[in-house]
Amino acid sequence: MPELDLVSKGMTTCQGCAMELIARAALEVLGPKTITMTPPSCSAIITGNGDETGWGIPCVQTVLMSLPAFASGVSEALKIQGKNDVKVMGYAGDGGTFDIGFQALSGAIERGHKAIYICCNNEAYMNTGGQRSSATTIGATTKTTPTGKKEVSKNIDFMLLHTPLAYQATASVGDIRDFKRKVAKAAEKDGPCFIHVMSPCPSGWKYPTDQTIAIAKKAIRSGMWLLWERENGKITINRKPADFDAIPEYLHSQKRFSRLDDETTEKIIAEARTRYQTLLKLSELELN
Amino acid sequence: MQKLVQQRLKKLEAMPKLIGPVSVKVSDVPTGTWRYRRPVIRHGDCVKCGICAEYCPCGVIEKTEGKMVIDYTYCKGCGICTTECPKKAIDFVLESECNKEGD
Ligand SMILES: Cc1ncc(C[n+]2csc(CCOP(=O)(O)OP(=O)(O)O)c2C)c(N)n1
Ligand code: SF4
Ligand code: SF4
Ligand code: SF4
Ligand SMILES: [Mg+2]
Repeated sequence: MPELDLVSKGMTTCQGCAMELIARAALEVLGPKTITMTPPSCSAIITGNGDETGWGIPCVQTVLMSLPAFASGVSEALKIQGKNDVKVMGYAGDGGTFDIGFQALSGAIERGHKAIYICCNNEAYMNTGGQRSSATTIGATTKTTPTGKKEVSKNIDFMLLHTPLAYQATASVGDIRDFKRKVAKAAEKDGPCFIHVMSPCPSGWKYPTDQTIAIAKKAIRSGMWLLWERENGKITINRKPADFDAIPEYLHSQKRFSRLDDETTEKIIAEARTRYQTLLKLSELELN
Repeated sequence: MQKLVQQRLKKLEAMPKLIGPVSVKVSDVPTGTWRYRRPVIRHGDCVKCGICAEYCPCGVIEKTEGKMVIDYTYCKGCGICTTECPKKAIDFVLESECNKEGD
């Protein structure tokens, strides 16, 4: 009998979907002794419908508001049964993390359940047709912001700095080895871990499907996406942005930014610089 | 507390192993039919670094017998492998051309 893939090959996620790759990479590290769960989102395509699933491991389809509460329950049940070698992985989108699932997430972190939350940030509610979320970059056109979003995105990573996470990290599909290293780190911890992964979406961001990784790399290079981690009260920056002036190149590689004016572009660049400066200052501090 | 846990565990053990609606089949959509372009590796130029396999979202590139092999049953033809290959050793051929050549 052929070996069961941890994530099946024949799934109906779009061509060039980063979220699919992130799931494969995460399970490559965590292995078969993992229980996963997805809220309504594109990641639920992996969980499947009817009697079919794309996961080669046990999975639960949760409601959008409370994936972290499901994870808490599973984690505690495993603890009672003494199954300490089984990992719990929550696999959600940005809508289910930044917006609708946020209170459940903050609760689960505060209670300290051992679980790994992975947030695949594709900057919109993609599974329902691409409506804006609080993670959408300012200026981006979505179903509900046809002339470009007016508000800056919520910085969930900075918000979570004040929570008792055992491990917190940002990662990107543009550096998959760094992501796998971070998942391996999270797997070692005995508490709640949060990994926020940039997950470009060719269907929603409107770029050619072969550019998924290239765009994620551009975001890292230009400082639009910062790679860092927090553990034991210390922030470590994994990669210094090479050139903030490369941000327009990142933006113009996607049609969702086709309505961007110069003023908003400047604002995006200025915001990215400030974000990095703040992070630099934070990395000098002893947190906790 | 410990007593309560023991009671609950006993109850759990008495329950059937599968509760509620469960998936019993693995998704197996032949997504290769979506492809209008096919990635074809030029094995002479390939240095087997494995980067294409690392970044293929569908996990369909594998190193077998010292050679990179693509599973065309599921390859969706996104082209990520062709873009990410540092040696530019993967051609991106129109499916219609492939059919003409009869392969
Ligand atoms: C309480 C609730 N509100 C709305 C929905 C409808 N809904 C299903 S998926 C989804 C989008 C989720 O977006 P995100 O979490 O960013 O995941 P993505 O699809 O982008 O991967 C929404 C709004 C729902 N299922 N439950
Ligand atoms: S809409 Fe985007 S995130 Fe969802 S499956 Fe398609 S590419 Fe992936
Ligand atoms: S990325 Fe290119 S060179 Fe490396 S293994 Fe794949 S085809 Fe060969
Ligand atoms: S075209 Fe896409 S799906 Fe096909 S092998 Fe290349 S990266 Fe994988
Ligand atoms: Mg989303």
